[in-house]
Amino acid sequence: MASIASDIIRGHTDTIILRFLMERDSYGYEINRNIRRLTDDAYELNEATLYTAFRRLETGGFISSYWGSEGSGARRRYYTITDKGRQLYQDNIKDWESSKNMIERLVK
Amino acid sequence: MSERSIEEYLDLCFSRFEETQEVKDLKEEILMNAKDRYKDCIDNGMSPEDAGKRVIESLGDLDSLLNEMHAQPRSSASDLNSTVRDFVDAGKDFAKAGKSFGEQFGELFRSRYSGRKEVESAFAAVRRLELELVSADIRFSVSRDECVHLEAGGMTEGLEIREDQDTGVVRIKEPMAQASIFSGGMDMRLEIPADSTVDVVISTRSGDISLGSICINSLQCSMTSGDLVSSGCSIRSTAVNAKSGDVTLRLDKPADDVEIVTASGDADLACSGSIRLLNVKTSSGDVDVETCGPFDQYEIHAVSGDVQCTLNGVPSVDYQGSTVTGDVRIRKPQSTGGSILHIHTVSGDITVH
Repeated sequence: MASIASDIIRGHTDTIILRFLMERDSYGYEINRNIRRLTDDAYELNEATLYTAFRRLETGGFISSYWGSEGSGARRRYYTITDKGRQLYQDNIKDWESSKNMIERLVK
Repeated sequence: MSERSIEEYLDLCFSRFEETQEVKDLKEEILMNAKDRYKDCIDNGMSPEDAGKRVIESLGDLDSLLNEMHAQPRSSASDLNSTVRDFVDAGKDFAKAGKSFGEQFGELFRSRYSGRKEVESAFAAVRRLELELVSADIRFSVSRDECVHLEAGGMTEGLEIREDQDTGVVRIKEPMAQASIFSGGMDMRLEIPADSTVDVVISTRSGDISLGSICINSLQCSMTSGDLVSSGCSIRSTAVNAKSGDVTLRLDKPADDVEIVTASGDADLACSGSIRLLNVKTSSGDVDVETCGPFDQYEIHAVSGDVQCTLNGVPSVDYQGSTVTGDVRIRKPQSTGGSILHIHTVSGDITVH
């Protein structure tokens, strides 16, 4: 994938995570699988970036986490979006719309 | 490469951080997701090797993630950092090289952590011994012949031994990356000929030094946390510089000079003969000196440490000392022109008898 697209996407990591959590509670690998699916395997986050974003969002009170149990006794950490997170998502979308229009006007 | 290898790789990445609940949770979370990815890759027809590579590649820079979380490095990790970094870097290289990751990882692992070799060497006509050590403990004893014998066991991989027969200098160097997470480390034994006049220079970080009844011309020693212990030695000139390590020096022959500098380590010196010049400096360590016979000058400085001197066979001393808040007890006749005794402390007590 072109690095310029990667760079732009990386700037919206938080919004992307929030978007999937708006649909339902999820976990790291599932979010990454969804990203791959929507980008036709062109993009995904590495674990370090993903967990850094989780920590940042959780510390800010935008998401919270809980441990769900898997069949074989293993635990999986699920994330859920908070009201504050929903608000942040709506704000980020507004920001994105306006910057998208601005960039389009600037580059075309 | 199997799921188990991924777990081992993560263990290594996390091993240099204190295992707090937060760090443990993160590791468990990442491992679970890494296993999912591995399974997905296998289900999509990838070979275990390729799947393993993909998983490791996808982890990214876990070090900076952990640093960002303010995970505390393990206290004893300073030497480990480089080792673990090596593994992480090597892991990335292997992933790039596209070779069999599992195989190469295993090879690296074995070369680092099961390289137990025994080293045995003998050197004749040694004049000077230079030891540059990191964590290896070293024990000196008396040789049965005219040679210096070296024996090393444990993690001896990469141990450098150089002998210059023209100058009689033997250099022994322990490699930095030797410090092992799987413990064990290295230990060394050195045998010195009886009544030798060899000069010994040792620098070490955490290794302990023990001298058993050897006779050498001079000893120059610097260590960080390692201790120095000697029993019944004969050393004409000694200079020891320690940070937190304790220095216990037992000499059974007269010596020209002894110098001991420590930060927090204690200095405990006993000589059954006389020592002409003595110089001891410490910050918080206690100083205990016992010697026999007259001397030229003893200079002892301590900040909070207590100083105790037992001067046998000295009729009187020319005491010139000072302390700010410490107690002073001089139980020795004082006269000018005798053995000069300078003792200075800030809060430490001074006792002379």
